[in-house]
Order: sequence, then C-alpha cells, then structure tokens
Amino acid sequence: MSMDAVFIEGKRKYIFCSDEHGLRVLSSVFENVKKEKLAYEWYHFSAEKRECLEEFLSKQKMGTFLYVELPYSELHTVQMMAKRIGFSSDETQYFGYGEKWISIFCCRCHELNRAEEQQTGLTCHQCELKLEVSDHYSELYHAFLGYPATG
Amino acid sequence: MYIEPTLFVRVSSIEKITKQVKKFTLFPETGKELPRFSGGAHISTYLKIPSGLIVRQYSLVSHPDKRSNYEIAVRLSENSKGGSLHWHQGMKVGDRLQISYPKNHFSLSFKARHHVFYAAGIGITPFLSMMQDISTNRQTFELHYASKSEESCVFHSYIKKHYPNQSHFYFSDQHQRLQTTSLANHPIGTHVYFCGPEGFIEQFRTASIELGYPILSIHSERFSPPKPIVLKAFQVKIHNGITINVSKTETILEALHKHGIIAPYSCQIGRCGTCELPVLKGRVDHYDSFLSDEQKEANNCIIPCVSRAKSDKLVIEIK
Amino acid sequence: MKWTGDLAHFPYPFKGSTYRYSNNSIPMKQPYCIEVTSSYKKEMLFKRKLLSDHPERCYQSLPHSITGQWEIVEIVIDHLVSQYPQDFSIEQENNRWIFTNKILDEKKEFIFGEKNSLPCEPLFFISQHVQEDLIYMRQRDDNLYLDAGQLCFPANWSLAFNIGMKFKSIHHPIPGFKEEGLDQRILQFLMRLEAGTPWERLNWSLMAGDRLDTSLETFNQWGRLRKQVTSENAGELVHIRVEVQKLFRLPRTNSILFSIHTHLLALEQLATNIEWLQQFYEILSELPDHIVEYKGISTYKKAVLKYLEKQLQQVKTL
Repeated sequence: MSMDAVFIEGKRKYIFCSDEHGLRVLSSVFENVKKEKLAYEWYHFSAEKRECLEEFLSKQKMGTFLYVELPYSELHTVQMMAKRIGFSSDETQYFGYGEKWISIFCCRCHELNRAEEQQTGLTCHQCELKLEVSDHYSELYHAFLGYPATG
Repeated sequence: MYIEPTLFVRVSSIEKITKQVKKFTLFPETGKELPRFSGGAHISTYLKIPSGLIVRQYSLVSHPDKRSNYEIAVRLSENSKGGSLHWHQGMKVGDRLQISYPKNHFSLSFKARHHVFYAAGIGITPFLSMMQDISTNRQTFELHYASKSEESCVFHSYIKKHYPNQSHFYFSDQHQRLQTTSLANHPIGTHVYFCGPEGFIEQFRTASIELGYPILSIHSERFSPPKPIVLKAFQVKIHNGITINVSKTETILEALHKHGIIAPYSCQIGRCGTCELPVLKGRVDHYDSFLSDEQKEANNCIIPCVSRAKSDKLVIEIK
Repeated sequence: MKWTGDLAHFPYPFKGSTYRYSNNSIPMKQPYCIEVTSSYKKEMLFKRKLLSDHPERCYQSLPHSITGQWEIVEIVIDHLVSQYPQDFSIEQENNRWIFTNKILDEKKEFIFGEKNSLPCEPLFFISQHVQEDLIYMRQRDDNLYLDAGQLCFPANWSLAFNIGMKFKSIHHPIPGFKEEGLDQRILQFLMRLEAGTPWERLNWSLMAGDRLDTSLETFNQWGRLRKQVTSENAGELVHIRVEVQKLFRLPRTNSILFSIHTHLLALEQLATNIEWLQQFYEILSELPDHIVEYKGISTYKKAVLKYLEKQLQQVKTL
C-alpha cells in the first residue's frame, strides 16, 4: 500500500469512500477530479452502513475507479468486499490509518497470532513455539509466516 | 528446427453448415482418446499438400470433456492462401492429418464476475466451448453476435436453443448493428472477449479502453501464422572480447560453446529461457517461444539456442 | 530413507563446476509424471501414515480445484497403467472406473467426475498410490496459484501456509530469486507450458539426517541434527536431497501438475563415484553464501567440505 493516492486517468467515474477522519490522502486526487470536471461520487463510510456500501458498489459499471481510506480495522473487510463484487487491483487504491495489527501464522500449529506491525518476534499462544516474524505473506490468511526463532 | 509433438487423426465427417462454413469431425487414429480441453482452446492443424506443409489454427467447437472426437469449423476465406481452400475442396472423409495438442491462449478469466462475448462471423467459434464451461460453473454471461444474415450465421440455431436468454444476434441484412455502446452497461467485474476480423476487435478494444476498462479485463484472440525462419550467417561479438562467426547451420549457443565460451543452457528449443543473454547492439531476430512481445520489441535480450541476428553483427554480454 | 537402488540411476543433479539458481528444465524423454522405485511399498506405507496422522499438514485444496483434481487422477492412472501394466490396471465403462494396484493388492471403484463416489477428494485418493508429492497450480488470469496439493516430503516449507498463493509469493523467501528476475522468467516459462510437452528439472539441497518429511512444521524435530554434523560423521549423517520435478500442462483446466519425487543419498555413497566427489566438492566450495544459507547448509558446510577433502585425499593416495 503506497502512502499517496495516485490519480488514474481515463476512467468514466471515480468513487471516494472514507469516514470523516480519513480524507487526507484522497484530497489531492479529489481536487484533480473536480478540476477536470470528471464524474465522481463520495461515499461517507460508517461501520453500520457496511451493507449499504456493498449494495452501492455492486451497482457500479465498468470503467469505475475506487479510492478507499479507512482505519486499518475496517480496511481489510472493505477490500475483501470490493474484490468479491469484482473490483480488481487495477481499479482500486486503498489507504489505511490508525493502529495497525498484523496476523502471524505459526509454522508449527498453523494458529494465527495477533501482533503489532513492528514486532519481530513472539510466542505462539497455542503451541508456545517461539516465532520469528518474516515478510512472507499469504493473501488467503492475510497473515505473515512465523518461522522457528533461531538462537 | 523444433517441431511440436502432434496427434494423428482422421476426418470422420464433413458437414456444410452455412454457405461458406464446413464443420469437420476428427477422430483419433490410435484408438486412444483425445485430451480434454478448456473453454476457448484451439489446435494447430498440419496439412501436407504438394507445395508444402500448411499450418492453421482452429478453435475446438466440440464439448471440452468429449474425448472420442474433436470438431472444428472452417470458413472458406475469399483470399485463402491454401489453408481454408484445401480444407473446403481437398479434404475428404477418411483423410489423415496431424494436429497439435489443445492449447489455450484465450481462456476465461477466473476472477471475472460476469463474462461478455462479442463475436463477428466465424469469430463465434472459441465462444462455443467457453459458454459450455461457464454453464457448468454456473456463472453468468452474455453473447453479442454479429452476422451478415440469419442464413450465414454459424451455429445460430444451436446457440438460440441452448442460450436463449443470454444470446443477442445482429444481422446486417436486417439493418441491425452490433455497436460498442453496450460496453458502457456492463457491471463492475465484467470481462469482455472479442473475436472476429481485425477491425472489429480493434474497434471494441479501443472503445473499452476509452471507457476505462482495465487492460486485463479485455481479451481478444488473433491467430497468427508461424514465422518462417531465415537462416543466414552473421557475427557475434562478446562485449569485452572476441568476435565469433555464426554459420547458417549453427545456433549462437552452439557457436559460443565451440569457442569454449561458458554459456548456460537447458532445453535448446527456445522455451525454458535458461540461456537468455543481454544484447547491447544489433537487431535480434527472435524465434523463441519464451520472451513476451514487449520483451522481444525491446531488443535488449536474446534466447541464443534458437534466435538469430537481423543485422550483420550482434554485441552480447556474457558475465 | 536411503537410496537402495543402483547408483547409476540416482538423479545426480550437477553439471559444470558451479551452481546458480536457474530454470534448468529440459523436455522429458519419457513423458510420465510418476516413477515407481524399489522402495515403493515402504514409502507408500509411510506416506499414508503421514496423510492420515497429519492431513492438514500434508493435504490442502481450494473448492474450485476439484475438476483439476480429476484431471490429475486421469493422468496419473494413465501413466501408471502405461508404464507399469503388470502392477496397475484400469477398467473403464463410461464413467465407472475400477483401478487396481497389484503391488498393494487394492481395488478401487468410483465414478469419474463424481466427487461422492470416493471417500476423499480425488487428489487425496490418487496420491495414496504414488511416491511423488503432487502439486496443482491453477492458471487464473495472468498468474499461477497453488490451488491444491498433497505434500508429505517438503524441503522445509509449509503447504498449509502456501495454499492459494501466487507463484511469485511462494518463492518470495528465496534470496536472490526476485532480484535476479528469475521469478518472472520461470513464471513466464510455466505459463507457456503446453499439453503434450512435459518438462523435468532437478533441484537439490543438503540435509543432516535421512528424513523424507522435512516439513517446516516439524523443523524442531529434524533441524537440530544440523548442529551434530562433524567431518567424521558427515559421510553417514549428511545426505544430498534431490527432487525430480515434473511439469505437465493439464488441458481441461489449463493448469499445471507439478510432481516431486524426492531421493536421498548419503555423502559416503556419493563419494564412491570419484567424478561426483570432485565435482560436488568444487560446487560446494564455490557456492555463494545466500544459497548456502537458504539451503540450510551454513551450520555444517565446513564439516562437509573437510569430509569431502579427506575423501579426495584418499582417492589421490590410492
């Protein structure tokens, strides 16, 4: 996930989805879209309205580009939802803010452990193996692999 | 030169399905069943005629799970250089020929939420097996099919019978035109597939891109004849060393090895990419089936086990 | 499980005096995805025990892989029957198939394509009859994904973690692989694989001990042996592990079957061939650190080199 939203040219419509806190990285692209007089829609997100968002996204046509900026706690759910509906990685940009947790997959017992983003080691809460956090990532588990800690 | 493995088949029936199109049924000669294939697959057919070998690609129009025979539909083209002319006039029931294993360069997108096929004329053929695949997967699709008239519309009654709700026909003799405007109505997650004459494909591709379709959601199929190999001698210079001569009958890789130059290799048929070398100067004549079109156009690398030089000299880098 | 066959048949992996990562694939001469060796019975018993004791470690599949799994059943049975007609047979009446494994004295009847006619998934079923690990890579859009697999004898990786993963992500942990652009090149090669033209390549590593099941999950059981290697015991303890990897395009689902047959050979056996001894010594001495590290040899590389030197000395003084 890059830090700045990038304006993608040549789409027939742009959707911006965010809550009131997360407007920072999207604003420059939004200004661009307004200046060029392109079609757009703002979707003001709240966790209670998640189902409405699903309905809203499902109604979109090909040629639509989606920008999302949400707290990390919500972002992954929305990302999975958009993917399920049919938005591909070439039709979306996602930005998270706030506290970020990651999952660590225990290489011995396959349990998913919660860890802080910067954490380099932990003990598996199920099998108690000492794990070293790697950068090997699984999209399916949305988790990083924890290897047996050396030393 | 590398020749791909083939299967021997015989023609078991020939059926004229429109004025210009004949359907051929091919059954395996050995009694061993033919391989299954995936929606959108084609075969290469090898026809031996007095003036040489004719290689043509045709989509398989039979069911992908049917192993007892294959079916292809061949349109007699007005400016046929021998391929379709021979199929239409020379081919008889019982004739023997070689075909490739099924290949698929026009497969259904896995991530698509909805598939839309745009066909013009004989361009319908790859879509028949694709529609069969989708029906078993219970996914949704639409077909937009343009033809001169109902009589010349290949597989018209079959499609109408099996996919009445998904298919839309456009007959130009009835002043119906298949237009690009429908591209604007497809829901997010749609993948579009175009097959027909070059101009038709280009028109629909351009329109999709203008609407903002991602490139990866647009699929099209063009069959291109194999490139005849030009065998001429040339020179290869190693960037910091000697110049060696590559004769008409040897490959660059062979010439390198002959001069004691260590160059890694594996398959020697231009497929695995192990022997790839950077090119610093000179124009490359690519014959491999490893590099992508973009990589070939960039002209900065070569697969020396099969590719050659267009210019008189190539400068390559060997570490 | 040590090599018990004729040394001349061991899939010795080296050519030249250096080793680097590459796509060293070659077209197969005998287009079969499986091989039955003299340790068939022993390995099948071991494999079946692993499959039943640790199914989540040894078997993974995504729901959309079933058609591809049937394709694997079809190709594996075809290859078993064509290559070993005295040991395997198949009776087919439309979709009703009866498969006979005479080595294990078993007969299985099922309806091809009908999932409920087997007690387990099709790939799980057929993998109980072959020594190879079987990996199904599905071509989805512009990439390959590990969508099903039976893996009892991994070289230190986890099928459970890698399930559903893209080709490049699977190979992400290999140092230098991405930097050298090899991941893209090999992906490109695989995407162009054609039915009728299967390929084969050899992969190797060294290991302390003779376990076939060196899964990441059990690393704490077998990894510690690395610390026990000395130049005295290396010949017996250290094994070269060679994977014969075979690649077949499955035309029905436009996917790839990747079969892996793992062979182990003790260094003392390897050393009986003087050319191999000399060549392997040269390769190991020259091997770049990142490859030594990834193949898990760092801890005992010195001890192995010392052992090989001693063997070479003996040869020269003879």
